[in-house]
Amino acid sequence: MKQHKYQLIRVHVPEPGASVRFTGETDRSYGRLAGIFVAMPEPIKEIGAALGLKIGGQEIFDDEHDVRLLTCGREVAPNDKFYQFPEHIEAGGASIEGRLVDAANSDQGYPFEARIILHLVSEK
Amino acid sequence: MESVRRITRVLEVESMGAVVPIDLSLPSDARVCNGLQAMVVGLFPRVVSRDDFGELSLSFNGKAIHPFHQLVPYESSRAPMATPARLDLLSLSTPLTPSSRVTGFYRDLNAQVEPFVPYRVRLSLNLLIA
Repeated sequence: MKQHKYQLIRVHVPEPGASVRFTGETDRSYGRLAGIFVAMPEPIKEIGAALGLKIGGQEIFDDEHDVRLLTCGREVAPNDKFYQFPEHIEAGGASIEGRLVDAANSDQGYPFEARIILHLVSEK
Repeated sequence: MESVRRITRVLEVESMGAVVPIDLSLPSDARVCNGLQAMVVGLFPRVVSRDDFGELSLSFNGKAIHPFHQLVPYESSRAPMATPARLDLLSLSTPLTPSSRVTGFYRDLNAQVEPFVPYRVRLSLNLLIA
C-alpha cells in the first residue's frame, strides 16, 4: 500500500530581498519525494521569489527557480496545490539543502515565514 | 522512469523596446525539451496585468527547430489573486542534439510607462536526460 506524508519546512524571511539558506532531512520512513508546494503569506511575495533545492545532493531546482511554478491561489483545492514530480526522487532520510530568495517587492509584511511542504510517499 | 533536469536562465532587460539576444547552452546529456515558461521578475505599480508585456522567440539545435514564438505576460500584484492556479510550463516536445544551443531573442513591448524600470525575465526549461 502507498503511504503518504506531508513534511513541513518553515523558512524565516527577516527582511526584503533576504536570501535564506535552510537545511533538513526528509522523513526516513518515506522513500520518494512525489511533490512540493510553497506557501507564502500574501501573493505579492510570490512574484519574483526563487527557490533552489537539493535533495540528497541532487539538484531538483536551481537557485533561480521561480516560486510561481510551485505555488497557487487559495481557492485551489489542497490536493491540487502540489507540483508533482514525474521522475523518481529518492528521499528516505535524504539531506535537504535549499535557498529561498525574497523578491523585495514591498517593504511591508516582514519578517514572515514561508512554508515549503514536501509530499513524501512510501510504496512498499 | 525518466530523469528530469530543470534549468533557469535569466535575461536582463535594460531599456524600453530592448531586444535581448539569447544564446544558451544546454547540458550535453539533455535529449528532449518538454516544457518552457518565461516569467517577468519585477513589479511595476503603474502597469496593469497584460498578456503582451514581451515577446520571446527561441530556436533549438542551431536554429534547426523553431518551436517557440510567444508573448510573455505580466501579472500585476493588484490582480485579484496573483497566481490563482499554479503556473505550469508550456508543453514542448523538442528533440535535442547533443550539446544543443538555444538561440533567439526577447523583445520588450513598451508596456511600461516612463520612467522605464529595468527588469529580469526568467526562462525555465524542463529537460529530459538520457
